Amino acid sequence: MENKGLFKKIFFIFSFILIGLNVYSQSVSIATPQKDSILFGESTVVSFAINQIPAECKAVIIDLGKIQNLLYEQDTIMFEKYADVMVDIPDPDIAVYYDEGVKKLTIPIQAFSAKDNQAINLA
Amino acid sequence: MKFLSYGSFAIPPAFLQDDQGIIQANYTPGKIMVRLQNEVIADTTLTITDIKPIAEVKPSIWSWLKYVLLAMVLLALAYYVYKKYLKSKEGAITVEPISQELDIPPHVEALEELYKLKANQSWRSGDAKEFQTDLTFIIKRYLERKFNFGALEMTSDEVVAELRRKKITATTWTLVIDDVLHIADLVKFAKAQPEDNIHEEFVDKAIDFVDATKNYK
Repeated sequence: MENKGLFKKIFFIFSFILIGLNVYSQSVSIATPQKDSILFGESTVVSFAINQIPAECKAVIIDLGKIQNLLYEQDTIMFEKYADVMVDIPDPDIAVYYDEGVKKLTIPIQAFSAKDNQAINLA
Repeated sequence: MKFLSYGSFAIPPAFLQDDQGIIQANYTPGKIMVRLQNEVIADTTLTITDIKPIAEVKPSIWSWLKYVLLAMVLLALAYYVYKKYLKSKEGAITVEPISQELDIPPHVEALEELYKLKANQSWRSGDAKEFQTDLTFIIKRYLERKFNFGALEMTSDEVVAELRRKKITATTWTLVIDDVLHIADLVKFAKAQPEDNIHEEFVDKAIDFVDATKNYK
């Protein structure tokens, strides 16, 4: 009886390890600006990197209309809630769909030659 | 990308989409700070120069005017000093002293003059005006020296008023002096011709007045 109880405990703890591994194994997406500080209106390159694109994935979406201003909560008068940005797509060969109204960029997955470690640079 | 807002922004990562919708994934947003253009850019083409010299301020007309006024005041002062001291030293203005020895007591001087005047009896030769002028002068001179007030510069009324105000003589003597001085004024200025005995009487009254007040302290 005591071994049965011990086994339950070990399984309980191990299940958390399995869950953690499962989460870690998901796709990872990172947005990295070229500079961490720029002037108003200055151009900078922002790199969006994705690893392990799943097979069922059809497109990559970058929502540029929801770039949150972290200072907005402190001062709602001086700062805007979302950033107003202008975007240039550097690679004209990539067939993208860009909704200017909501500033949402949709890139079909066929545009990428490989499924892993893709990066999209927006200038 | 160009940011047209300023603040600290969290750039969302790219998301994956399948037929069912957006696939949840681990993501790390990028952070970027957007600042306003408030930096001063130095002009490196300019060279460093020395401190400017002190600017010269041109004097205005008012600054000259005070010197002109000062000069005028000094000139006026110099002219005054010249007139008062230097001219008098040259003898242009000479004042003949009435009495050569001022240490003579007033009553002695006055009595001497009065007796001399009485002895001359100049009124008898028809020169009553000069006699009265001398008489009033002797009386005023005595009053000035004895009682220390400017009787010689005063009119007859002022002399009498001063005697009354200071109460330096008895009322009767004040009335006598008043009488003598006013009659003398009439002779001098109104060409009055009093009787001959009036002149002698006035000299006697003046002698009595000096005698009565000679011991006054």
